[in-house]
Amino acid sequence: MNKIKITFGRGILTLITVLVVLLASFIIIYFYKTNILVTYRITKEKIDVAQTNIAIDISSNLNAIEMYVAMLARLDSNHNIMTEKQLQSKVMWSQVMSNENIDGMFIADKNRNFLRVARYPSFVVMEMRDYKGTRTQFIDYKRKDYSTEKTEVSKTEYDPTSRDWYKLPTKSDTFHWSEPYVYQDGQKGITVSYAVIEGGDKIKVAAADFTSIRLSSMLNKYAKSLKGDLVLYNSKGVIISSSFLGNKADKISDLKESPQIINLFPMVINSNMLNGEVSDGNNEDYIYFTQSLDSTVHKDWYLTTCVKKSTIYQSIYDSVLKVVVISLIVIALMYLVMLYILKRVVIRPVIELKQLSNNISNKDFDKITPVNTNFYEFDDLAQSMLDMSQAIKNYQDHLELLVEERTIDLEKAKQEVEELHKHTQESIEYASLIQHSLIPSNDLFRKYFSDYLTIWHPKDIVGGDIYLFEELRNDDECLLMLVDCTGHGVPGAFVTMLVKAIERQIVANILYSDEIVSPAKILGIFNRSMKHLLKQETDDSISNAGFDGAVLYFNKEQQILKYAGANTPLFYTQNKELITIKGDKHSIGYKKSDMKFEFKEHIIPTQKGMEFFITTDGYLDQNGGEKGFPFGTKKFKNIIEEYAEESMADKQEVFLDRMQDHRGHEEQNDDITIIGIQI
Amino acid sequence: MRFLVADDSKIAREKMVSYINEMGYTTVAKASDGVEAVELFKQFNPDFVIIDLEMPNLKGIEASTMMLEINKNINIVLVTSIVDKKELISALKIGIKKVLRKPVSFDMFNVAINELNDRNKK
Repeated sequence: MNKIKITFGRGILTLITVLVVLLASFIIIYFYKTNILVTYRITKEKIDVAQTNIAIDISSNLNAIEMYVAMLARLDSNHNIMTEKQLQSKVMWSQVMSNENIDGMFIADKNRNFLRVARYPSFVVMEMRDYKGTRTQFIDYKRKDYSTEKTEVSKTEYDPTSRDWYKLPTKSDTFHWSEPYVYQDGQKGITVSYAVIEGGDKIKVAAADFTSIRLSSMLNKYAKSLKGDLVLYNSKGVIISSSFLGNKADKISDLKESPQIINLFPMVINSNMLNGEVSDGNNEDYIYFTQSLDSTVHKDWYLTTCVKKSTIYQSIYDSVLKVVVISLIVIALMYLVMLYILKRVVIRPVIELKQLSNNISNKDFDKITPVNTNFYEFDDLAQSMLDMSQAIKNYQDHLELLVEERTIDLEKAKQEVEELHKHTQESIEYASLIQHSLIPSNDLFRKYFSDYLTIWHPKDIVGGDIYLFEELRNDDECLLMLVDCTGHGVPGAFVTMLVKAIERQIVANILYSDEIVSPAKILGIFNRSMKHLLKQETDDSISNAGFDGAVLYFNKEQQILKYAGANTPLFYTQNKELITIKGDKHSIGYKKSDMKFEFKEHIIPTQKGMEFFITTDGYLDQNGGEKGFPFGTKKFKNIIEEYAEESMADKQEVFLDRMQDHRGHEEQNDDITIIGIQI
Repeated sequence: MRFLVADDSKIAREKMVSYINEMGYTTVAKASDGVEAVELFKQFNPDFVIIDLEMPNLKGIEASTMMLEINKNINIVLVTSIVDKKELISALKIGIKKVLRKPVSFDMFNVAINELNDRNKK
């Protein structure tokens, strides 16, 4: 697989970028997911806690009002409103002024004496009525020091004892809270009253008014911070106050603009499901929290806070987005800083080291300068490279000198080798001439035979094949030998010389004797002589040379041909039949050759026209053809048979052509020699 | 180009003739021994002689010598199966232009004849 290569710098930058992107993605996803859930949960908890605090706040306010009313009721132990009016009015004035939820405080006795301090939008008044209910004093307090008074007398009668606030409290020391109602001035509010009853006689009742508008403002303020709606209501579904400023609805069921609150009311009241989710029926979901006010009087009052889920999520998204953007900016800045540091601290030194390495490899030793980095390791490496470059330079200088010297030596040696080769080649060429001189002239064949063929193709310049032809004691007898010595080339040629020497001795002996010429005996002599001359009579001998071959003795007068062969067959035709005599399977002269071996002699009566062929194994074993197989004896014999009627010259041509076709581009394996004679 | 082919082998003669034909040239005469070769040479005066070394009656070298005496510029190509360098050198010395060792392939023949033609043109 092809490798993808990138620079070190790019590789590191890519790696860091990928890591940073992965980290940022992980942070964003993780933060986003967890924050959505956590923030949602926290927001819900916040709302819940806030609501609880609001409820406590409201309860505290209401409790405070109750306390003021009770205190007012018990202020005068003699229960004389008329005589203590100044004290009482002062107390009522301070109570009204100190608690903005109180619109007015008033007290009445059984004699219909009535004292009231009320808060109007821009002033506070004290009102006094007598037993008839007639206002006797009406003081407008513009300043807290009571310095400005406005007295107004009204003849309008008012019987406090006929009012619900007076009548309904029937037990002493208990508070009575009215249902919300519309005051005379048109404001909607609630009155809490406290009766002093002694001996079954209702002595007096103190009360306080608070308009729901004050509560609404408070609820509205809370609603804005929670981004929801708050409603204070009782178990009957009567709205006591709500965060909807200007709301005129008396009951929950009238809150048409807040259908979610209408929907949840039954769940709270009937199923007591104080917290949960509710829909407004228009695919808008809300979460709600309901808190019952902690008061024995107000225990059937409920404060419900409703917040749109989408509002919560929107705020979460906004905050998460803020955090994510900030995180990304921080990560990006960190990334840039890291890149800068990396480039300066790591990549630049690596580039410098690379440049140093390039200069060393290009052998630009003049351009090599020290490298200083921020790391000991890089500096050490750079120093090592500098030392190495100096060593290389020194070595190179020395090497060039060495090469020059060696080149001169080599040149000299080459000349000597060439000289030697030339000398050797000349020697071999000369040896070739010598070996050629051993080959008998074809004229000799013409003298004894009507036709003949000779093919003598050494594999190299000289070879191990040789054929010898000797005229013997008269013109009728001749000796023909075919010899295939060990190997080919120069070694083979050496052995042929030895063979020739032995042959000369054998022929000399024949020439000067009357003995019957025996090819078998001649082979025996060769065998013993070769072993003796090459000291191959024992297995200790270093050399192991010899030959395979055949000896033919022809006597024209006697019309016989004698044959003995050592691993060299004789092929001859007689009456159009091809006959093969295989010869003995015993080589001549080798260490393993038996000194006493007696070769078999074959005597063949000859007739005119008979043809005899002998060949060394070089022809028969030559590789070639499609499968690289040897030529083979069968094909050799086929040629003899196929061209039986043709001249030896033609047979020779065919032998050569068929061998060339078979061999093709294969190298000649061995020396090739074929002799053919026709009687 | 006109060729004389001399070889004691009929097969060899026919092979040479086929090569000559393939090259688009003409064989004007064929001889089976050296004496016949000289006679036909005198008769036909060919441009090229393809002659075998080993032939009865008169060997190829001797026949070539006689032909060269008649026409010293004649292009003689000696073909032989023998690798006797001494004889081959003798052949070149007497004026034989090329020596081809048997078996002769068409490529060998073609290259030898073309080389001689180019040499003649120069």
